[in-house]
Amino acid sequence: MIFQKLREIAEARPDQLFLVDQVYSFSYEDAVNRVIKIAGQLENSKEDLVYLYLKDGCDLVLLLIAIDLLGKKACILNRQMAEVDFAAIFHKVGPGILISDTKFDDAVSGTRIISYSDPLWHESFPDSKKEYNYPVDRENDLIILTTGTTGLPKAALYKWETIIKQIRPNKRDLQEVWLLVSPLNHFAGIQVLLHSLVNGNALIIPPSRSFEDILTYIQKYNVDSISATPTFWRFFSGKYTKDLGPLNLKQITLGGEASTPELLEKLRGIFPKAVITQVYATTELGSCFSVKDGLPGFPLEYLSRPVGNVKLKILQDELYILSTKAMLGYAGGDVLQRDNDGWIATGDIVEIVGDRVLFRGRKSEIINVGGVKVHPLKVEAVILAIPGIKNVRVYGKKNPITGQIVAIQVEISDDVSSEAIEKEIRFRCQSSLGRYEQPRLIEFVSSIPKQNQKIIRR
Amino acid sequence: MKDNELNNLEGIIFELVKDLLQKLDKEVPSCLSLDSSLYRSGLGLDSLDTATLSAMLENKFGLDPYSQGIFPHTVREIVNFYKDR
Repeated sequence: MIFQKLREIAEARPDQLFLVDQVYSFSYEDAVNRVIKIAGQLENSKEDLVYLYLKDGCDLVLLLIAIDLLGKKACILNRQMAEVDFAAIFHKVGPGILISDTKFDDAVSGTRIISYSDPLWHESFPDSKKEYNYPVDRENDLIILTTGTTGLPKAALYKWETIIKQIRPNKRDLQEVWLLVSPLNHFAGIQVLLHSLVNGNALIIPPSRSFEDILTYIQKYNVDSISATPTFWRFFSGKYTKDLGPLNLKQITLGGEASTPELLEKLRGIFPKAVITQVYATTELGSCFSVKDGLPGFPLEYLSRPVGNVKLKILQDELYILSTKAMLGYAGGDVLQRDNDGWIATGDIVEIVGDRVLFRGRKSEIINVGGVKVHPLKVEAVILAIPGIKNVRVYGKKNPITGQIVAIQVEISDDVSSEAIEKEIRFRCQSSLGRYEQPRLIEFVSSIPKQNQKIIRR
Repeated sequence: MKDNELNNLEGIIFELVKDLLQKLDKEVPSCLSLDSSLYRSGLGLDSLDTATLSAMLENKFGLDPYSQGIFPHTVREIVNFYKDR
C-alpha cells in the first residue's frame, strides 16, 4: 500500500523531494530505487514480522516501505524502551526479526537480530529493477505500540490502508514541507509520514528535537507545516524570538493533549499567517476529528452530527467515540473496552461550557482531594496564563489527610523571581479555582519530565 | 538533643507554620506559641489546611508526623515528633 503510493508519486513527479535527514536526501524516484534494494536484502528472511529499532531518519522510513513491499508486517519499538522489555513485547506481538542500529545481546531479546550497521545494507544491494508481486490481502501490516505509561505498552494492529483513509489531501496546490517532530514509533509520527507520502510532500527529519536543531531544519528546508503536542509548541514558542530569523509556517497542528487558550493565542500572535489546527487522535482510534477555529475544546454541535472520521457522545463526563477507521484490535490478548453499541470510552473528561466542549484532563489523571475530584487541565490553564511561566505539571501528591493534594512543578523564565511567581500563582488560583483545586505544594524545577513530548501528569 | 539545636528546630517549625498561615491567607496570631492549638480553638486549620501542613513538613524534613499515624495537636507536638528522631 505505502510502496504503491511512493511509486505513484515517483512516476508523476520523480524529482519531487521526499525525505531528508542529517545524512541523506531522497527524491521520490531515489526513494523507490533504494526501497527495492533494501527489500532485496530482506526478501529471503522467513519471518513475517519485522521489528525496527532505529533512530528516526531516512533509513527507518525506507525500511518501513520495504517491509510493506515484501508483504511483511512492521513494528517500530519505542526508542526509550528498556532492552529488558523487548522480550515481553516480542512475546505479546509475536515472533519476528529485529533490525537494529544498536548492538543487542540475542540471548536477552530472544529473537534473531540483524544489525543495520552491517556493511551489506550499504554496499552490495541487488538489482533495483526487480519487480515484486505485491501482496494484497493481509490481516494487518503495521503494529503501533502505545506509550505504556502504566506498564508494558499495548500493541495496536493497523492496516496502512485504514490510516491512509484518515489522511486529508493538501489544502493548497503547492507541495507542503513537513518537519517530523513526533517520533515514528508513535501514531502521530506515522500520520505525519503518511500525510507527506500520500500527498507527495517533503518530510524533513531533524537530528534531534532540541530547539536549535528544530529551528535550523525549519529554516534550512523552508519547512511550512509542523504537527506536534501542545507541550512541544509551548516549549518552541517560548524560545523563539523574531531576531532568530523569520519562519514561514503555514500549518501548525496540535494533538495528543488538550491545548490551552494561552498557547493558542500565543501561536496566533507569533505566526499570524499559519492555519492552527487541533487534532483529536489516539493510538487506538487514529485521527478522529479536528478543530480549526483556534479556540480550546470543540464546538458543542459536534455532538449532534458525524465529524471527521467519527461520531461523538458524552457519558458521565467522559468523551465516547464511535469510529469506522479504528485499529483492528490489540495484539496479545489486550482488549479495548467498548459499550454495547460499539462506542469506545476515551478516558478524556470533558465539560460543556456554553456552546463549547472543553477537555478537563484524563480520567486516570483526576486528582482526588478528600473526595473532591480535581481536573489537572483546569489548574494548568490558570497557571499557564501567568506571564513568566514556561511550563507546568499539575499532579496529585499522596497525602495522609486528604488522600491526595494538588501539587505543581513549574518552569519559569530567567527574568522572573520564583517568589513573585509563587505569589501570583496563589493569587490567581485563589480567585479562579475552588479551595480543593488550588495547588498546595509549589516546586520550581529547571525541566518538567516528559514522555513522547507530552507532560507526565500522573 | 542540645538546647541550641532544639531552639533551632522550634524556630524552623514556627517559621513553617507562619509560612503556611500566610499561604492560606490567614492572620498570624500575635500570641502564637508552642502550645497554640493547630485546629479549631487555635490556628483554625481544617482538613485541607492540615493536608497542606503535612505536605510542607514532608517537603522540609522528608518525613511528616501525619503519615506516621501521629496527629499533633499543638506546635509543640510537631517539634516533639522531630526532636525524637
